[in-house]
Amino acid sequence: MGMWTQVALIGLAVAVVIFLGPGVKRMAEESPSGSREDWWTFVRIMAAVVGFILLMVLFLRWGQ
Amino acid sequence: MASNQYAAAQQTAGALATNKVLRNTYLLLSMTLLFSGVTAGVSMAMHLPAPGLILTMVGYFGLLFLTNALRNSAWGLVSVFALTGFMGLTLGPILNMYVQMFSNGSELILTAFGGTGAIFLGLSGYAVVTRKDFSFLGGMIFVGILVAFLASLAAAIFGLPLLSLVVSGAFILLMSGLILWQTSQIIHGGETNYIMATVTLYVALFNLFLSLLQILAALSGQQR
Repeated sequence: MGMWTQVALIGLAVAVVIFLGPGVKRMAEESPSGSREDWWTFVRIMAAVVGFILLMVLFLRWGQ
Repeated sequence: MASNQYAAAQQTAGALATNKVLRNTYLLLSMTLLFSGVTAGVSMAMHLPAPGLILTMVGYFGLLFLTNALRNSAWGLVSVFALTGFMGLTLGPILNMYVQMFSNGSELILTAFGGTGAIFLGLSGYAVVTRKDFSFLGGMIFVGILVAFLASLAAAIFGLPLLSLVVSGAFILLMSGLILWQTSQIIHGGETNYIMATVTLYVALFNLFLSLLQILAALSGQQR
């Protein structure tokens, strides 16, 4: 990667933090806090997603 | 008695409005997915070169901000198709690269495509059927996306493939959460603009597909 591309990417990172950072911070502060049960539901759903991806990897390897 | 009827009528009107936003979102999402599929196909067939990271980022963010600015007018629809068409164009060279780099490239792409569809249908369906409120995920998801985006830039700048893979894994979980959050927002009246809802779901699907493709290629890809 060229030096100017690297400089531009660093500039983009700084711009993203400056422009989107405050909005994201506000959103995080205003977001309602979920109950323990809510978070467990979310963890279970994410575990199902990870399990599904592992199945896809196994399926691809099995087909080789 | 009259107040009960009024409350019931208001509830029905709210539910109808929610269903309309959900229906319009899914309709526009399927049309934009078809359109970006066509532009990705054209880009692949013509072997268009990758536009480069800077042009890609300027295009993505420029069209994203334009769509946000036009979200309440008919021009917003034009802007959505411009954004998704552009994203499809940038996808073509990436897919060509996978086909050329891996002997099972086509299989990887099809599996990632099917997997993305299944994950989206599963998560969105879960949120619609259970009507569970996932608004508590908002803060975590947007902070996570910002951190993951900065980490992906760092991985690109310093050439760190392992960090790139970790970011892809994080993006899969964050985009899955984003699908749950956005669908829940539509159902509970938190999002009433179907153009913005479509853009959020489209971006989630796009990132989910690319991250899944990278993970599958790293774990089951056969390099030529």
